[in-house]
Amino acid sequence: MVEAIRQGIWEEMERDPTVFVIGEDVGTYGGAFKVTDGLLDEFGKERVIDTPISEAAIVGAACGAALMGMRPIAEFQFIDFISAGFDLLTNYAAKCRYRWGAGIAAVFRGPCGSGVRTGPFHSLNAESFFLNTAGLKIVEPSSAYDAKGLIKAAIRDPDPVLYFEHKKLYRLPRLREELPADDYIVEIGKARVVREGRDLSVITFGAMVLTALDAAEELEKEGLDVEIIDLRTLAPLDKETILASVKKTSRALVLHEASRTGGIGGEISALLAEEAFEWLDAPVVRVASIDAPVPYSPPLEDYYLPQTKDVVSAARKLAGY
Amino acid sequence: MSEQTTVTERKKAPDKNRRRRRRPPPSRFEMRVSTRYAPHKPAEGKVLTCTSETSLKRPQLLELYEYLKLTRLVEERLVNLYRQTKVVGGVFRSLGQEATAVGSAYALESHDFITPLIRDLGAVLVKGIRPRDIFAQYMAKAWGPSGGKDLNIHFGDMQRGFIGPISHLGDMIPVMTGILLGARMQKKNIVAIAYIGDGGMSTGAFHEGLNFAAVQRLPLIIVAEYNHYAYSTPTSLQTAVRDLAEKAAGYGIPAYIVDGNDVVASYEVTKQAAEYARKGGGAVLIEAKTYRRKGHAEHDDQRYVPAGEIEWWEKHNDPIDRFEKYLLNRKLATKEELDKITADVTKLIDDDCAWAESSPMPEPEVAAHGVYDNSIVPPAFRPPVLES
Repeated sequence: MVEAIRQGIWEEMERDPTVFVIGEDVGTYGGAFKVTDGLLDEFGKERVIDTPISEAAIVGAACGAALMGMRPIAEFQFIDFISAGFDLLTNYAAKCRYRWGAGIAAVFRGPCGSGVRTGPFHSLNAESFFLNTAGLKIVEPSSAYDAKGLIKAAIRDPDPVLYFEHKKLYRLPRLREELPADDYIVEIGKARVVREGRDLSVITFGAMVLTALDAAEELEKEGLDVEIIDLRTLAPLDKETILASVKKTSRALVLHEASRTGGIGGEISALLAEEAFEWLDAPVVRVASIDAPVPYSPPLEDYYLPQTKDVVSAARKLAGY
Repeated sequence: MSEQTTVTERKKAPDKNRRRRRRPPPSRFEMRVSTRYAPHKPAEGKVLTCTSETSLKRPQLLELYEYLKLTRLVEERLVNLYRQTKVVGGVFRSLGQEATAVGSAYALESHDFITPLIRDLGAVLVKGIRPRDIFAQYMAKAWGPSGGKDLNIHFGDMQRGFIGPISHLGDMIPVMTGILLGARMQKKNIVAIAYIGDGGMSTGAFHEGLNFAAVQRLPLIIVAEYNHYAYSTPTSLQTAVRDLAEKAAGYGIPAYIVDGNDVVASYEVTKQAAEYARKGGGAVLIEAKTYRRKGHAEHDDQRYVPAGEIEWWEKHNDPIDRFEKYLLNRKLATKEELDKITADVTKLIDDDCAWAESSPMPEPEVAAHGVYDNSIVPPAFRPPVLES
């Protein structure tokens, strides 16, 4: 997936001279995860800008450059550090178009997610901090194809896009695939049906798509036909795809990696309660991480995170209604 | 930097036996702070006016006077509207510190950028924003530049090089750094002023933005207004430095201290700073010593101000009084000419205020528009409840 994102950025920088990269260690070093590797040699230091350790400077400068008609791609070294740029993201980037019609066409991207033993400060899933801020778009791919298509769509989007990359998926052999040679984008705001099924909808995104797929395989042996929706875009939500799936299966399980309370699962559950109540044969169930910081030690982190077995047992209960 | 003062005075080499008398290298701890236009006490029996060291000609000086009066009278009109309950939010005055904003912004080229604070209305007006826009914004009218979505000078005009602030002090420093970064990539030779106060300089965003601008040698001019109070907090509780200009050393950039109540000095110093920045020198900081004579906003009773302080500044150090004396004493203008300018400004304000008052309030549903580009994401209308 790293290569897919890198290719996407590379192609957009070739296509559009206003696209540039800004962040910590993105130049010579190529970024902590090598997402911007080689860009400096190809595009020069004017367009691949190493910054001081300052998320406020990165976000603020991206906003200012965007106002001038540039298309910045700002990198957070880990998405945990987005908190240090929170003020400018939520108060400046998100509200500029609304306040005076000046859309901030900028991408704010970085590695998110847990399950790789990186502890409380390098494992964050940050989407819930931003879901309540109108004006920001939020995307998170779960496949190489979507990663490339979404980064290109994000760069071309006229509004600020938070682009979260699950670090566990960066170099996962399971995700290797041939990408189309031609230019393509994945439209922001559109979910994807990853697996079609009749009995139960699992609504998820990011690395949890793989957990859902593993669970579905196991449940299939028990005769349960699971549908999996990969949201891909978390804001604005693709309500149509979610509602269509649940109206078909009548059972919904929302699965995400961030802590349960205040997570996107609550939002989706409320949506289903309000708009699909009559179609439901069972309560909407959330499977999410516990309400705790992300712990470091493997047994602790495994307890923290939703596991395949948790999805399987929740699905069984749902099917029993 | 044309003139510099140093903390450690350079001394001649005492050793006469040394063969070569080379000028010693400047101390690593030398502070590059120019105080040529800093405030000074007038000679006994003299009153404060403005500096005579200026390249400004009569028409420009009269234009500066016009902007000073415009700023003060627009604000006075806003207070009237506020008292008539026509202003929806608060009114923020720059009374007593108009010369800093007007003089500094006047030193820029038309294609240069500013990002002001709420007490820099003068700079906004110099940049060509019309009083009618300001009135409509304060009254939350549909015809205001933000259509009623935001208040006072919280909007922008990219053509005029005006980026409005947000309430979060300091945030505009990194944003302006980005404006200049973008301009550099576009090969545009512009400089920019970002205004900040003794309070706003305490924020992390100020530090982070200026540090980045300095590292990148971007032509960012920080105008730091020492106006003695941040809301009710005196500068002594805001920072341990005596002069805000000292902080420039922490970024490796030069600084000026200017009498911010001298509009001519504010102009001259900014002109020098802009030349330095435009020629590739990088960021620079101007500390303007001034005084906020009104409270944070109109509701503020200023109980925290020592007795007599405001009155002293009003009587002895009002920027418009000082400039009037300067113009009259030097026979650059007659009283009649200045009165004529004031009358013209008042007429403009009357017209613009009437225009803004005639604007309707925004349609309620406008609240749903423009969160995103609505050609892609539909407006955020109130959803129907239990209709499916």
